[in-house]
Amino acid sequence: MPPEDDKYSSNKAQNPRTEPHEMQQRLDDVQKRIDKMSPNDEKNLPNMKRVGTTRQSSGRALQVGSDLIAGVVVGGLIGYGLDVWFDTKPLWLIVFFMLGIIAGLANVLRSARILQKEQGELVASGELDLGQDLTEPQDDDEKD
Amino acid sequence: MATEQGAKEALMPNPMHQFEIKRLFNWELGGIDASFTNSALFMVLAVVVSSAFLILSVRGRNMIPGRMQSISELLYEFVRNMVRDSTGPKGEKYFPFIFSLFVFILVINMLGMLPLGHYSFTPTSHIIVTFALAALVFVGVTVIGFWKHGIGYLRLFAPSGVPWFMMPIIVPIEVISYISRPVSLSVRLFANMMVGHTLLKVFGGFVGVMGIYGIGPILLMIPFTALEILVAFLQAFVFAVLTSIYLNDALNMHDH
Repeated sequence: MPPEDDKYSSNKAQNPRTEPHEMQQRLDDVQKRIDKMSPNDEKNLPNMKRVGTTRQSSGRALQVGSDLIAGVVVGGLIGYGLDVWFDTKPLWLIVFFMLGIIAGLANVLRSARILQKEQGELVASGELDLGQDLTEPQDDDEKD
Repeated sequence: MATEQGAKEALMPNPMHQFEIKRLFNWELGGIDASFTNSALFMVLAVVVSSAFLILSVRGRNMIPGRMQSISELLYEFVRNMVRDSTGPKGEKYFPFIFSLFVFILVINMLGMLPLGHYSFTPTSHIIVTFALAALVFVGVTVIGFWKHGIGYLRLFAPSGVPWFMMPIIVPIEVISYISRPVSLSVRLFANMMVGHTLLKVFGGFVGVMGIYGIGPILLMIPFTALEILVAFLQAFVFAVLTSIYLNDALNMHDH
């Protein structure tokens, strides 16, 4: 570790101001060296990884609910707006309300997939209600 | 039963009382009521606390970080990895914004968990605050999308591989889905914060009413408080993740 550190710090001292892409390159470089030194190091952020293990179904309900409601509300508002504009009272409201429900369901599926993936990575170890399908089952002593 | 309930009502504090906006000093700005409220105070506090912490903790710039510097670096790397994983190299420029957003929401949520009695307040438990944040993200992402792809950004609403006769249905759905993003983003954060805080207050109310048996709700409140802190963190994280996912849609359209 020490010789690598020296290389990095001397490098840093030479050009203190760097462009973002240079910075990126250098960081990737450093990352590569770190990876070489510690292969399969999954233990970064040990505390953060366990976040969410006790997630409850109420949280999941809110998660799903907000997406669904958002779709329905936005659909309904668009429909109502069109009705007021064209003076066709219930027609567009009904159409867009239904489309809103579908959009809401699409939202639920999409963001569930996103959050499942992200939180699955976040809680790569341990059980997680929300991300159970995508996190590979691992033995964890801290399960209750 | 009803009278009994009425008597108990006096002992129990109103669980919604904590969400009350109080004016700290009045201020009229061109006919608009721009008074400085407790909500504004907590947001200013969040900015001050987070800035002060991040600036002071990394001031040493030690090669081997101390405790405080470790926290800052951990926070930085955590958000950085998240942004890089979800937006790729193109999203690098927007990292400062997402980091600020994440830290701002996180610190607001955490400040709201401080037991300050009547002064305790969580701005994110008000939908207008979360909606303002979500609207900022929505407008920003939309502007970036049109700026990068021009009018071609509208292709986002017509996913490839969909037969033409489905378009009249798919396009409105996609448009609704797109517009509903800030709504769901803000409702999610607001609902999580408000529900958790209300629940805690309701349990807290039971403690006073139940006398000696109040130990029951107290024991129940301990895990719930822990859970609430978890939710405070997780919701800030979810907000930041979804922001970077939306940003990714705008930057790399082909992924959609």
